[in-house]
Amino acid sequence: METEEQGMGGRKRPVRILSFLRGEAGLLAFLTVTGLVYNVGMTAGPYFEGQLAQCLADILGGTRGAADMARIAGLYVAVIAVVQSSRAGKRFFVRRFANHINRRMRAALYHALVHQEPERVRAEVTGALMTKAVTDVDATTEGIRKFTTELFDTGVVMVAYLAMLAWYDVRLAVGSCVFLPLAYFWAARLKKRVARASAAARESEGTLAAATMDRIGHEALYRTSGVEAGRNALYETQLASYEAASIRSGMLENAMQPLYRIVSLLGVLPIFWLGGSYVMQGTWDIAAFTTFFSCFLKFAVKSSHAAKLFNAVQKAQVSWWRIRPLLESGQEETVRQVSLAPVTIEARNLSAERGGKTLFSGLSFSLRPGEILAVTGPVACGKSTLGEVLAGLVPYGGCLTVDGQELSSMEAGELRGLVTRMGHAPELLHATLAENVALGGNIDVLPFLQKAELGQDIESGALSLEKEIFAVGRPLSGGQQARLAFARTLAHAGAVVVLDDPFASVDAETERRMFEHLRAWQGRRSIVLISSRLQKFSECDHVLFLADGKGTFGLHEEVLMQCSEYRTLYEAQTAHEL
Amino acid sequence: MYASALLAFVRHFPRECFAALALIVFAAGTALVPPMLLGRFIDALGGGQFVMLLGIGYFAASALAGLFESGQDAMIVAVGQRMMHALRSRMAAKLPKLPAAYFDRHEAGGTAALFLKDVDAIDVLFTDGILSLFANSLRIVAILAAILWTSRGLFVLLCVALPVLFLFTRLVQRRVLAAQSANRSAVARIVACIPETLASFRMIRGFGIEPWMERRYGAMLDDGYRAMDRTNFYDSVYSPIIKSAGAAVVAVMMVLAAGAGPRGFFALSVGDAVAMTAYVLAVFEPLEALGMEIQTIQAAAAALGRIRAFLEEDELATQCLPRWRKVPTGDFAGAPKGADKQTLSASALSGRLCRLWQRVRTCRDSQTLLPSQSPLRVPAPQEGEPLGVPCIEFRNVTFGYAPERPIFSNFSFSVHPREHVVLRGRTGAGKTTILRLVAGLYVPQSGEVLVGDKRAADVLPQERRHLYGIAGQAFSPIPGTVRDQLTLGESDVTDAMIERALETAGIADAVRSLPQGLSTMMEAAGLSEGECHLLGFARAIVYDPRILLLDECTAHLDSGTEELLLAAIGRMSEGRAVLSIAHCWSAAMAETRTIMLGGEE
Repeated sequence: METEEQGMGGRKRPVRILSFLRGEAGLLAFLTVTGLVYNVGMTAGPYFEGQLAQCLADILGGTRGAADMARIAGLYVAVIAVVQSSRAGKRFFVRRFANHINRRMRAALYHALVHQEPERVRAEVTGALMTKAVTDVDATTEGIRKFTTELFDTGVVMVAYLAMLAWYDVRLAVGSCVFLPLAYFWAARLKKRVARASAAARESEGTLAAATMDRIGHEALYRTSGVEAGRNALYETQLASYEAASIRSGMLENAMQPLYRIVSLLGVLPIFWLGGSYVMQGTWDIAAFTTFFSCFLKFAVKSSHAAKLFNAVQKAQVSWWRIRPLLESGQEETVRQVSLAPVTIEARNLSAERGGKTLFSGLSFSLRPGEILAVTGPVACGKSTLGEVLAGLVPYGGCLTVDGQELSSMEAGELRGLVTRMGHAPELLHATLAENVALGGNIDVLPFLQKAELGQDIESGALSLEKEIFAVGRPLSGGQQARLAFARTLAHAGAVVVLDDPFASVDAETERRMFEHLRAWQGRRSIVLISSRLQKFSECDHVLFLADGKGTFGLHEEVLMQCSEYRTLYEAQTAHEL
Repeated sequence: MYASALLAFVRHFPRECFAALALIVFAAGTALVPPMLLGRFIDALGGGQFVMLLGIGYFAASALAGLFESGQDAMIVAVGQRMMHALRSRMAAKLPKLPAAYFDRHEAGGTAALFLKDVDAIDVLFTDGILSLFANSLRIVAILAAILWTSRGLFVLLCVALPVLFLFTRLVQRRVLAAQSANRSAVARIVACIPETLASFRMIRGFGIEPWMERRYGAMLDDGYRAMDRTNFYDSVYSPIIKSAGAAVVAVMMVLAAGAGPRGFFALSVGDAVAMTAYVLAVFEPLEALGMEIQTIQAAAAALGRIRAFLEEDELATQCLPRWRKVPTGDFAGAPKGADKQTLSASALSGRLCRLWQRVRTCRDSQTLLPSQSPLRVPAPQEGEPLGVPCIEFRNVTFGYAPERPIFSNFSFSVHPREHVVLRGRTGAGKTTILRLVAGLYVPQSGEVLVGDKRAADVLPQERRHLYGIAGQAFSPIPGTVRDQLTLGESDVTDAMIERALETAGIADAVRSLPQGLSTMMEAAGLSEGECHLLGFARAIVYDPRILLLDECTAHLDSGTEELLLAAIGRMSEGRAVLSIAHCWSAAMAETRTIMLGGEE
């Protein structure tokens, strides 16, 4: 019984779970009424069954007529119908109640997720955490549902039955029910073992899942290493240990229930003994005996369910404690305010580091409205990091101003509206082509798709605006994904646009046309084009070449002159592309 | 489909099946006795007799029925687990026989779901489905027989009521099934939304679309909510209706019995009436379960179909076209989503490999230095190569994942002992494919791929790691200790071999400093990304192979780590034939033999 106290306490203490329950007051009220009607009404079944038997006895004895039977039978059916309707109502509203809470908890969890600060989100860690959290939400609502159900089905009904038994005969009620605590005591003693076995089985299940994932996920490694036979042998031992653990826990869990019932059924012996003698003495009629007997059987069945209640509550409690910190971790909302007012960017002595190591330092450059700054350099020179610095994603040293205002001092919402960055990964959503560009905004997407050279794919029917882009059968190619991300960036661009390797997976001709579109669209925007492909660099306003932590900034021709590395790369590429 | 699966199962486990069936029959039989004894007891009471023996008999029969039921449940669990074990073993045995193309076409997670979720579904099919279906049908038949024995009138009544209620049950369950499948697809979308959000997190924040994403998620939740609500409705209404119907049958039975007098068609004694009431209420119970089981069986049909399809997959001989590889520039690494990742690392790799080759050059003795070749042409096999029998040789190889669309035709090249060759070309040109052909994962449509003195496909499993080592794009740890990462569970790898491999890869010190050295569990070792890479290198050379196959290495490493990796590659390449993949073009590569694949963009 103390588990119940704990369960209740654990759910009441934090204010937040109540906040989820509070909105459900109407539902809960209805639930209480139907639940009480049903559960108190449950005693009507045994009562009428007794009355029917008695009536039949009387008719056979000639003291009553068939009309009496019809009356009782009619009443019986009517009462049962009312009781069962209440039951249907109760069942439905308990489930709807849990469904409501589940939806609200998931939404709250998602809200907290999307308002995390990006630096706190690491895809794999957070992903695993969230998957677990969603499972926990399910477990919590399932626990709440079970608790509510069992509260009526077990709690109320047991009290009602017990009251009815006592009303017939207190001595016999005590005598027959004395075996129930015995069954419960036995169950509680076994419970630890059952819990241990089921924990072992769950752990074994996890091991098997990991082993299966390993066996299949590393198939190429095992095959090319010629160790498949050995891995299969290992998998076989894992299967065997899983089988053993599952059988043990399954037997303890499933097969114990009937055994508890046998113990609690010991109570029928006093009923036969005492009840039988009451009838013989004439203090009881057949109806009383039948009612008492059938009431006791139902009581015994119900009491064997009591353990379930405690398990459900305990599980829900553990889950709730795990998700609570996640729900609280959301940051304040920032609203992106798109700004198209032309700006000038100045960098003086700019530096950035990653993992404690300086990537570049002493960078100075400027970018005026309507200009394109092309950035390149060898791999790991920090050019992508420079893009992230400009988008406010990475801290920097030195000076970086937007119209004289230091970038690091800008509000997050303001900066997001000013600088729009297209990263390496296309970061597309499982939505239609149009939605991926419009992102819920009221935007005519076609012109932007044309700028990204996706127009002909749509005209030819190869792509459809209204189809899910990852739908099975025709997924987008890497190049198409990159171009879609390009279209999306332009569609939402602020006054500064950072494009990180937008042409990485398109061919030279497409690159040329996309660059032309970019120029035509640009207007007074400032664009930073980070690329390892240099064929269009001669047409950009400035070039920044990053190498060995230093930058060379100037006109394309100037950088060509000053920096032999840049010249080698440029010439090699243009020679190759031609 | 079920029948043959069932038969196969019975043939596999005759003893378990017999025991389970026997227990089911006994449980159903003994469950009939207590109500009958109760009826006798009441009739005796009505006749002024008090027979306690009947009461004791009631308890004894109930206890026996409980024991049988308990045994039945235990047996069903055991049989189910046995079956799952056997099925998974069979599926695992299938894995080595599948062509490599299977693993390209199917994500590992999906195949693992076959092993885990679908086999679980089959277990449910057999235990909750077929075995319980049998148990419950038996219960109904047994109860009906008992009723027929006592009251033919009631039997007729039930013969009318039961089919009607059963049809009603099925109707409800079909509705539920429809609602459930709507719910499942909604849930699948809800579940998928979270990794998607995380993968696009910077975009979502940068574009300020958090409210839209929340609305999208909310709409998905609403879909799930509505479908769930419908399921809940049927779920809630069904059992009360069945219970009410039971009460109605009891009422009709009583009224008819009252009207019939002591000898009529519907006549019943009081004790019989009590027993019959218990029977009638009990006969509807399995009805509900019966409907559920039919549904379980239907739901498991999909799983059964998938597993069967898996077990009937073509084995190694034929290779079919991976479905997603429609785009000619498609990628080999796996799912299409992996493609952009690879392009990403492709550009990141360029500089690193450039430096690698500079380093390799300085490490090598001058004897193995080969004259440079035109980087833009596939070099024709040269006659009279100075270095003897090639380690790797492609002779007029034609290969395409789809035979009608070859990636290369009549392609020939060779790599000689201690020669280092770089493969270049854009994504989709066939670089990774060449490594896969060398590793024997695929077989060319025509021509020959020779590794050592054998065709690649004829290299025996146990010879592979002695012949070549592969260091891939990323190190993926297998479950187990640090030692397991190198041995892959094989017992013929000595500690001395491990030590040497770790030394060459430059990770020996890091491993020594672990709390339990080589026996440290991998997840507890806390190795950095770079160190994991080095461990992957050590794995490739633990058998001291003659050939090293290097797939492109990683992106996003800090330059310190990068140096370490390059140095390790330099040491590993020494004295071995190396075939590696690069994506960039760089002047630094000019001195190494470079093979350009697929021409220009």
